[in-house]
This record gives sequence, C-alpha cells and structure tokens, in this order.
Amino acid sequence: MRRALWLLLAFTALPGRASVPDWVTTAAAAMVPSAFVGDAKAVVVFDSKEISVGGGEIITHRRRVVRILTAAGRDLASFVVHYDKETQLRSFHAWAISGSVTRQFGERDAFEANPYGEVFDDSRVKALTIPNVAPGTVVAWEYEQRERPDALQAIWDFQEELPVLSAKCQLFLPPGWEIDLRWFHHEPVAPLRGMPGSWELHEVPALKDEPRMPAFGAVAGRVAFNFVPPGTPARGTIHRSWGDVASWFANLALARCVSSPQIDAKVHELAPQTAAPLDRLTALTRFAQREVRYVAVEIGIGGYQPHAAVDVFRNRYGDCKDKVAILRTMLAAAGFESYYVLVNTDRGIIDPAFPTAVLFNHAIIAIRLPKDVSFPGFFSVYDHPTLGRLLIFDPTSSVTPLGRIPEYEQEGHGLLVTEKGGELISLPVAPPDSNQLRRRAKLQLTADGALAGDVEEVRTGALASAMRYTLRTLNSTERSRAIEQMVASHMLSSEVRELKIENADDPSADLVVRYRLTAPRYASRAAELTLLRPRVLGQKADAQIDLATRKQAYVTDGPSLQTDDIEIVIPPELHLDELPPVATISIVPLAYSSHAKFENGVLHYQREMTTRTFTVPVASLAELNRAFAKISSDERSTAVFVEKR
Amino acid sequence: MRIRLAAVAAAVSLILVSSLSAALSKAQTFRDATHEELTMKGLDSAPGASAAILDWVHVDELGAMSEYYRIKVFTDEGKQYADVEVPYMASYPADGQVTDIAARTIHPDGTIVPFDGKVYDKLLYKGSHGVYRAKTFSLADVQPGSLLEYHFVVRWSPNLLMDTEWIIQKSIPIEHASFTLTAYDGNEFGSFFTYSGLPAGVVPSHVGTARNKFALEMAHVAPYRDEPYALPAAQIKPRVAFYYTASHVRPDSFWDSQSRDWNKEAEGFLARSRGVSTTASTTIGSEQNAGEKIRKLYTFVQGLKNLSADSSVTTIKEAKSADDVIANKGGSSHELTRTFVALARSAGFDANVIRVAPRDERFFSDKLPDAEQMSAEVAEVIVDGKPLYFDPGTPHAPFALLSWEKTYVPGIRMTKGGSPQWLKTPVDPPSTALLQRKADLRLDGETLKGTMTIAFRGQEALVRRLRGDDEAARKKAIEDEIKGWFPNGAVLNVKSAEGLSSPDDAIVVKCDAELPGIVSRAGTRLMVPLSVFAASTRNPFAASTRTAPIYFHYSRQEDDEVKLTLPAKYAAGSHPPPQSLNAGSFQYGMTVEDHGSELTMKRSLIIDAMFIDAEQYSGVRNFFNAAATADQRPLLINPPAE
Repeated sequence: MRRALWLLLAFTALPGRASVPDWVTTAAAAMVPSAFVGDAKAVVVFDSKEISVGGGEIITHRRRVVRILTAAGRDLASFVVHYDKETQLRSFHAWAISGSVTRQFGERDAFEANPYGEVFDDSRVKALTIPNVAPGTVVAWEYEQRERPDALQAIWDFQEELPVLSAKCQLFLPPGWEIDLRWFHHEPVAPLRGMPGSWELHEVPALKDEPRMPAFGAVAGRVAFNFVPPGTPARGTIHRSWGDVASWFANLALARCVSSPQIDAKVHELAPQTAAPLDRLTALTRFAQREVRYVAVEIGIGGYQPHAAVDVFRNRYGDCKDKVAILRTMLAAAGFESYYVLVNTDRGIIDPAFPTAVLFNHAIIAIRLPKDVSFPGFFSVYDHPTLGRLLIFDPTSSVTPLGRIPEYEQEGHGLLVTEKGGELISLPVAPPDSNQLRRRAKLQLTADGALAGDVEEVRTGALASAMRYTLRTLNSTERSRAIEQMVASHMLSSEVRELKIENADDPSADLVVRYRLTAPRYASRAAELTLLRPRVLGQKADAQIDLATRKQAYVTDGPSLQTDDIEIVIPPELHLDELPPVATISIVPLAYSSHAKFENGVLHYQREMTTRTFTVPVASLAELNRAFAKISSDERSTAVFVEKR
Repeated sequence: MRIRLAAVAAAVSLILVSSLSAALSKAQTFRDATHEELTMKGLDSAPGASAAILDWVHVDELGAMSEYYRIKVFTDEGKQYADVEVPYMASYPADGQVTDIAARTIHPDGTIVPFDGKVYDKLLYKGSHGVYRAKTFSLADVQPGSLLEYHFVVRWSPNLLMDTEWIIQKSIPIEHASFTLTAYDGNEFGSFFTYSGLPAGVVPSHVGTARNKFALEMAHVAPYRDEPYALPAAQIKPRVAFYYTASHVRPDSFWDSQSRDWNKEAEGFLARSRGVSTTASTTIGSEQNAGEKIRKLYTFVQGLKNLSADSSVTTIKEAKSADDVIANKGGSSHELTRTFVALARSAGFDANVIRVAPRDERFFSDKLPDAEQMSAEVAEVIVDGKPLYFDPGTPHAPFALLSWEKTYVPGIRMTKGGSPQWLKTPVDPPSTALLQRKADLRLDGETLKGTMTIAFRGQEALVRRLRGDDEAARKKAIEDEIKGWFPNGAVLNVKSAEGLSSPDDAIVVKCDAELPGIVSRAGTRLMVPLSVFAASTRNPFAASTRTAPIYFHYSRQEDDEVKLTLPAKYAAGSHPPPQSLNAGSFQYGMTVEDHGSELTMKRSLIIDAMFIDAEQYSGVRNFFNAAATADQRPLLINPPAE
C-alpha cells in the first residue's frame, strides 16, 4: 500500500479554465536581462509578500511568478506551502502561461501530505505540480496564510538559489503600531517613497550552492520584522530582546520539569548522594542520552513545548526538548541546577542582533557545575558571570560524551533559558588537541613490493563522534567493509583483517580501530628503483577551490589535531636512494608538517596537521588552496630505494 | 490490480468487521518470552546486527491483513524498530482502517511493559487520488536487550480484492517468518502466484484441502546488502506475489494469448499506416543503398518528439497509425517504434515490431502472467539479408543499437501473419560500447597540461544522452564525469561537446585540461602514471568478500592513448613495461612508446561479461587489482640538475 501511495504523489494536476490576473500577465511579460540570469534553470520574475498584522494574527499573502528557462527547471513548477494547526491556508491558486495558452489551477488540483518522516507530527504541506511545462513557460502561484503566532514577527527571505528580478514586501499594520526591523546579509534599503512599510528590490543575485559553504540561512539576504503594538502587549507576544524569547519559552517548558516518586527513585539508584559529583552527572546524563529514545512528537504546540518529564520517563522516548525535560528534572532531584539552551544545528543562523524563537531548531542543556569540584577534560564549559561554570551538554547526540557538544553546535549561539528570563550565549569551542586522530602503523615491505603490518587509529572528541556516527548503523560485516573501503581509497589493492573496534558504543572513551593491513604491490618498481609512498593512509588535503566563481567562505570539519606515525621495515636488499622532502606549512586556519627518515633499515614517516578554525573567509581561500596543493604534493611524495648490488 | 466484487460485498464484510477470523487471530497472540530470547545478545549468522526479527506472522484475508512482529533489540540503534507506522487508505475504494493494535516491551529480566500510549493518526496524502493515513505508535521503555512484540490488523472494504505481495527481506535479519493467504474463492475471477528469490525447495503451498488457502514459512533470512554492480534489488529479495485476474487465464497459456493481442494491436496500427509511403519516399530520396535508406528513415523517426521521454507530459493522445504520429510530429515510444516499422515496410524492407521485457528493474519470468513485464518495443529490419535491431522509441539511440536493458532479453516478434514468435534480442559485443580517450599533455612544473578528446560511442553515448533533461544538463554531467577520472583540482575547459542530443554513434568532447595531483615527487625525480585517465579510478571490487552475483549492464571497452611531452632538458627515466592481462571475459593491455622527450601510452580494457557468480568474485577482484596496478606504474622523469 505504501508503494502505491508514493506513486500517487507523483501524479500531477489537471488544468482548469484560465483566468489570469494582471499581476501575473504583467510579470510574465517582463524583460529579463540575460547577463543577470546567467546559466540559471529558472528566474523568479516577481515575488511579493504582503503581511497584515492585527488581532494577534499575521496574514501573509504571497505571489510569485517564475519563468522556466531550461528543461532542468521544470521541477520548479511544483509548489509546496506548509501549514499546521496554528497556520491556516486560506487560498491557493496557480497559473501557467505557455505562449498563447494559459492554464489555471486551484486547491482541488493540489494534494496534502506530511512533509517530514517523524513518527508523530501534524505538519502538513499543500503541494501542486503543474504539468506540461517546457522551457519558456511562466508559472505563477498565490496563497494566503493566516496564523496566530506566539510572537508577532515575520521574515522576508528575498534571496534564494534562483535569481530574483523583482522582490517586494509590503506591511499592513493597525494605526499606532511600530516596526523593528533588521537586514541580514544585505545593505539596508529605504522603504518606497511615500509608502512606509513597503520595500522593493531588483535583480537580487542567486545564491548558488558551493562546496563546503556555510549554511544557506547564514549567508542569504533577508529582513526580519518585529511588530510592536501600542501600549503594553500581552505577555510573551513581543520578542524585542533575547530575554523576551527566553521568558516565552520558560513559560512553556519549565512547568513540564516536575519530578515523581518514580523519577526520584531512579535518580537515587543512578546517582546516590554518596557518589562523586562527576559520577552522578555522568550517570544522569547517560540515562537521558542513551535510555530515552529519540522520537519526535510534534503535535500542535508540541513543536515548542516539551512533554511532561513523568511521561518521558515512563515512555523512555521523546524529542530533544523532552530529553532536556527529563534530564533537568532528574538533575534537580539530584541537587544540580540546570537550564534549557535553545540552539540551531547550523552555525551562523542565529544572529544576536535579532531576537526570535523561530530560528531555533534544537534544545540542549546547561548544567551548573558545583563551585568546589574540578571537572578536568570538559571542553563545553561556559563561564557565566553570575551562574558560574555551566556545562553545556546535548542529550540528543548519542555519539557526544559529557564534557563536549557536537561540532556543529560549537561557535554558534544558544539561548540560555532561566526562570528569570535568559540571554544569548556563545557556545564553547573545543581546542584542536581535544579532537584527535592518531594513526600508528608498524609495517613491513617485502621484496615483491607488498606491504603488511598492523595499524592503530585512535580518535577522540569530534573525530570520534563522526566515526561513531558512521559506524552506528552498521553491523559487524558492514563495519569491516566500511573500514576496507576507507583503506582502499588510499591504495590500489588491500585487505583488512583482524579488525577490532573498541568503544564504538561508548562515547566517553577513545574510539580505537585496529587492523592488520595487507597491500600487495604497494611499492612500485621502475627499473632498479623501488618507489614507496610513506604516507600510506589518510588524506588531509581537500580539493582545490574554484576561486574564479567562489563567493562564500569555506567551512572546515572543525578544529582538530591529526598525526600519522608510520614505520616501514625495508627489505635488507634495498638501500635508500632518496627521501621525500620535509614539508612545513602554517597559515591561520591550519598547520601541516611532515618528515621522513631512514634508520637501521626502517623508514619512519611522521606528519601532523592542525586545523584551527571552523571557517576560512573568502579573502584567505587563495592561501588555503596553496596550502592544500602543498599538502597534496607531500601526500603523493615517495621514498626511492635501490637494490643493492 | 483491484477488482470490485459487488456480489460478495455485504455478507462478507459483516463477518469480517465484527470479529477476527481464526487466521487473523493467529497473528494476534502475544507469547511468553523464552529464556533463550531474553538472554540472547546477537545472532551468530549476523554479527553486530542492531536487532533481529525473531518471528513475523503475516496473514492475508479478504478485506483484512494482520501482522505480528517479535523483535529482539541488540543495540541502541536497534531501538528504532520500536517506532511503528502502519499506512492505510482511508478513502474510497478501500475505506480502510487499522484496528487491534497492541504492543508490549519485554525486558531481559522478563518484566513486561504494556503499550498504553497514544496511537496517532497521521495524514500521509490527501488529494484527488484519495486519502492515505498512517497509524503511528512507539513502544515504551525500549533498551538494548528488549524484546518488542506488536500486532495490528489493517482492514479495507471486503468487496475490494487486493493483490498480495510479500517481500521477505529487511534491513535486519529475520529468524522466522510465516505467511498465510486466504484468497477469494468465487469463480468469477482468476488468480495466480508468482515468486522469486526464494531458497531452494521453499514455495507457497496449499493449507490442508482448501483450494484457496496458502502458506509459506521462511527461516534465517539474512539482511539485504547493497553492493556495487549488483542485480536489481527487486530481483534479489525473496518475493511472493498473488494476483487476481479479470479472467481465468492460465499462466501456461497466458503468453500465447497476450502475444496474439499485441500482434493484433501492432499490426492494426501498421495496417492503418498506408499513408506513410510519401514520407518514406521523400525521406529516402534518391538513395539506393539499403543501409543508407534505413538510416535515413531511422534518423527521421528519431527527429520526431518522443512524448514518453518528456517528464512534463502527463497525458498522451493515442495515435491510431503512423500517419497520426507523422502529422503530430511525435508520439509515444511504442508509436515511434511502430512508425519506424511502417516506414521501413513502406520502403520495401522486411520489418517487424518486437515486444521485449527490459531487464533494468526485474528479469522476465514466463511463469508470471503479467503483461507489464514486456513493457517495451523495438524494431527488427532485415537489411541486406541480415536482421538489424533498432530502438526508435528511446531518444537519441544510435542507429541499429538497442538500449542496454532491451538487449539479451526475451522478445515476441509481431508478424503480419498474426503468428507471434519468441526470440531473444542480441547481446552486443564490447566494441559497441566504446570509450575512447586521447590526451596530448605536457609537463608544466608538477602539473600536466594539454588537450583531451573523449569519445563515448554506441551504448556509452546512449546512457549519457539519457542522463539529463536537456543538452546543458547532459553536458554538465559529462564534464563532472570526466573531472571525476582525475584527482581533485582538475580543471577542464570544454571547447566542444557534440552528439549530446542526436542519434549519432558518438558523443565527442574536446577540452583543454590542467591536471594537478597526478605528478608526484620521488626525491629529486618526478613520477607520472601515464595512464592518466584510469590511474585515479577507484576499484569497485575493493571489498574482500561478495554476497550477490556481479551484474554488468552491458559489455564494454576502453581505449586510451596518452601522449606526454617533457620540457627541455628533462629526461625520461624508466617507463612501465608492456602489460597484458587475459582473464577470459576480461582483458587488459598497456604499452608505452618512448621517443625521448615524447612518450605515448596505449591502454585497452575489455569487459565482455554480464552476469558473474559471486563464487568467481576473487578472480574478478584479482583482475581489476592487477589492471589498477598496471595503470599506476609510473614513468620516472629526471629534471635537469640545478
């Protein structure tokens, strides 16, 4: 039945009689400069957002006209509008113009569906696919949404992956209302003359996808609005400060964190008062992280409001905010104070300059550490001026241990929610040496060029988390294959045997991978010479960045320290002819060094790479390219041996 | 395939909705956990599995389907199997519902946590094709070691006969599975079973003396694994299907009957196409050579719009004859093929339509009386006494070449006399899928720079023409593919790309290239693998073990030629010796000509195989490893002394 369902989703709408409004025909006739469009598969000729505020409601009227330019652009003739119990979809129309043929579509041509794969989720979309669209066809759509939001805010996101010829935003407010607004990633533009509350932009360039670019929302142009009524607004409806946002969330969430005798008993069992503070924290955080299964239940306000801790405890499942609810409750029962922290899992999305709740998509926790106890090796500690040391922890990430937060949350912003309100804080960054990959190999080269021996890889911190994340869904056979594939990407022919993975399911310990490597024909022969690449495994250099087209910064995998220590016993019949040159590179984002030596019949190769930053700005990308080229050259370098006569 | 049964509606539905039948009840009983189940930590047959289905009971009846699952969770990852989603069609004609949901979690110590949580009713789809919803629920307090038990019944209007399909393989191992079906027993309709991928000796069997009750038991089904160059998943997974048919068609006579219907339909189309002679004669003009005549007709048909290949076209007005297709300047794939045959016959050729069973998603089985298996048509034309096969229904298919999925498959030839004939379409030799790569490069520092000409011929051209919606997309895909042959950082400046949107034999791409990352240092020397096109290619058979047979879609050949010019005062040191590998279906050869400062490498790889048993995997792997080793053997270059 399921298969039949998804086939049906591919069905497309049938047209009705065409009655095309003027705004569509006018936009469809617009001249679009070819230089502006470039190689885009479609161009947004006109995009308008009219926002009316009043009576605790926001009504959004959206109009959009898109000209399809290539066959690949035909998928842009599909429209999707989200709605849920808090947001009504009041009208929905679409049109297509192909030469002299016009077609009209309505709500009955669309279908409704659930957009996400969550088990429990009442989000819906109304979707429409216009059929028979060819390059040159102009498609247009219009809808009106009525929502009763928690806070009277709106966002005009005028920049997208397509070029936009004309973008317009108009606000309609009751008399006496004020607007706070902020422009992001675009110079502020004055309202249209004589029309306060109306803005128009022309030729907004497309924001193209680039490898390793920051999150789209962290770089796309947009305007955020705060609508402020006269007088004293209802509590929680105005978010002019981060404190307002925190208070709103506190009002929703904190009352959910109430214990029960069963929870108290579990806390006593897991974290008795007699145990050391670190052990108690470890036991309770582990419970929330490992024994409460992640299941999203986002029905109605459940998108923001956690379930009661007693329910989460009984079911042993919940989403991120539910996990924080049960952990907060248990910590409180154990005598630890803790706070919700709201974050976005993409760095750079949350901008301190515009307080809003709508951009948070995840909840984690801040645990107030006892003053007189030391917690060595914790890298996710935030020093708060009045609350003291706050240990930030993410109970949803099953691969991140206590004392750390996932790499994607570091250097971002989080909203600390306290009973008295809250504030935006910068999330701590773990230093490079807390995220290590230490590779050691003791190998032997045979006369026929085969390499064999033992390899050990120890990963800590974010590098261990990333590897655990890859391994977590794999059974033993699949894990062997995954390691085999990783090794095979560095040599022509190889076999991995006696694979042992330690601590794959224990994020608090180093992740250790050991295996016996056999690589027939690893060394190349060229006449009397034997050519041996001492690097053997691992690739530190990334692809060269196309500087001619690059517009965005480059995002690294985060700070780390990676070392290789390779020993290769050389057959006695070979003597050294030449070693690879020493490599040393140091620029702001990274440092790299390698050297090889040959002593007592053993080729010893060591290298070290330190990544220091999450992001490399565009101005430094040429330097980064040069560094990658040098690293790549070093990685290909070989030692040369000659047969003794 | 659904059939409404007005006659049986009321009576049967009353019985089914009011209570569970005995068979459905079989799948609705929870059972105590055994000591072995409570203490088991994993399966020896699937080490490291996150969970395993210990028992799966599936019961199909008229208007209802019941399922029971008994799942052992071994790891945190396995806890996901406690989240259950049961889809159903909530609207007409099924008017479905999900009932009798019950679930429980059994801890390793034997304590039982009954499911008392909420069952949600989630909208999946609502539109002109009906309303689809799902019941979702999550079992409580699930930990590694937990035993999960749940069951449910999906009901639908009992006057609606639903086909049954059992796919008996999942992402976790299945220790035991039991399937039963009670089919409609009336005489108005036919029915039949089909199955594939079942272990030897395992087939659905009758239950007792009832002619409409069937059962199947399976044990120790390994989880499905995806591997490179694998057979289609639908072909590998154990599958049983039960179909109702509108008439009493016997599987053993189905194809005779069906082929006659097709013959009548195709020949009817051709018989009504008498007006094509003008088009044929205009297209052929004064050409006398038979081969050239048919080429002109083929090019003409390929020039018509292929409506089946246009994803934006949702409805195609049916053409009654080739005249309609020519007048409309386009048609469906079948109509284009038939139009080509009509034109060929009009020009005096002996030509026929052949109905074929493509092998891209599933392989043909004559035991399965499903006409959808033979979903494609190709054309056969006798030219100078030899049969040639054409694929005018596939956009941009080269002259006398079938798209790979239509080669080496069963087909039925439609004939004028109305006597369909079975045949097998030909398998093409490697030379009809040829990749020719030429490079003229010079060494510039540690970068290779120069020009390249890449020709994708025959099948290699066709598969690339089918990749994108338009020429720009195809060009981009090919550019990305060529870049992927080299280490990161390759810069290509494509000067021309011809044949992307035509039925010509080849796509030819010419470009300037800068290739960093190929030259490496060996002390003071430089090293270059002269096989620049293949040296960085990943070996698809790197894994040391293999489960499924290897499936190459078609035989193919690579011919490479690389000329490298050294800078002044640089001297070529030793270069790779000639290499020749012959493993029967796989052949490899490489030679280097040394002309001082100019060296030319020639390389050839032939894969003349389609299906290879997993038992022969090590031989295949050894061949590809040896070829890759030869590709990486370097030329040593001595720079001038500083």
